[in-house]
Amino acid sequence: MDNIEIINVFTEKDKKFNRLMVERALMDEQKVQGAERRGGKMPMPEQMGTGLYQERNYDFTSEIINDFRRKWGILQ
Amino acid sequence: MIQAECYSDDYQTMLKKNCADNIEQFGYQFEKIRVLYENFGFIYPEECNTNYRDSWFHYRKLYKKKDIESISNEKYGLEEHLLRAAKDAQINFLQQVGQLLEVWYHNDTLLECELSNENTYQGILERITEKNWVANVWELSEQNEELFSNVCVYYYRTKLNSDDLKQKLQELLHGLKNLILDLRLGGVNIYRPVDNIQYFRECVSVYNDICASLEEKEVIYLVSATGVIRKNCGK
Repeated sequence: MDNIEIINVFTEKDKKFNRLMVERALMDEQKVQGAERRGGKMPMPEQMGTGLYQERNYDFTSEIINDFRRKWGILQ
Repeated sequence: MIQAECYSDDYQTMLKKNCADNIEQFGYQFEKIRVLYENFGFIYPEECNTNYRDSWFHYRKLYKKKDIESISNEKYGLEEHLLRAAKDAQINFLQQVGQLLEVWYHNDTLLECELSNENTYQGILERITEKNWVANVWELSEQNEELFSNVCVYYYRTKLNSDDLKQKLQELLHGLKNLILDLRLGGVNIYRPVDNIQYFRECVSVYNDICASLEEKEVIYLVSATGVIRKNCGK
């Protein structure tokens, strides 16, 4: 393992700058990030907030619900 | 009652020693790959640490189990977790670098530069004094992300971009993607490298190639800043 040589073109200052850039890019990404790949919790989008199921806007268009009702004969 | 078949004490000791050696070897590999992550400022994936931790759970169970089947299960479980920890770290690193390099390879279609402030960009570029010109531009643009991003794209297009660079980026991206495929397919192949760190060697070799060729072309300093630049100059 010791004979594996890693070329280092970055100074300590460069590495700090690189980290800063990666973190800045991630800050915005995390706001819109969905579920983690595995084992992670699924964060609720910010606009959902807390509240009752009925009060939440799930962004389902009423057309989908109407189609569903028509298909299965569910009356209003 | 049928008594479960057991390994001899000596053989069990040897298995435990082999497993301990594997854990130790992963530690050395971790030290090396951490350097790659730190150089680019990337975040080391959490899953790799949990896989490493889980390998210890299997190691601990080796001391509780006695029958051949249970010991074999723990041994393979340990090896599998270590293998996944190492592979995930390598693939994640290669994917991150690949995604960032692709932005510059396809910069014509992915990035756009606001040219109305060209004089300001040139003014900043004339004041660059440091080798890491990207960090220098960040200071000179007073940490204004939009200005910084536009200056970087402007400089890349006017000074760095060339057919030669595009060809090099293509070669590097092909190398990265081939290695990712090898790593992924390795899991379903019967072939297993005799040397446990063969893929890691190849990973470092790709990294060294990227650093050596892109440092010469001044593009290496752009890699970690690509996310911020794309956020501000993305089409």
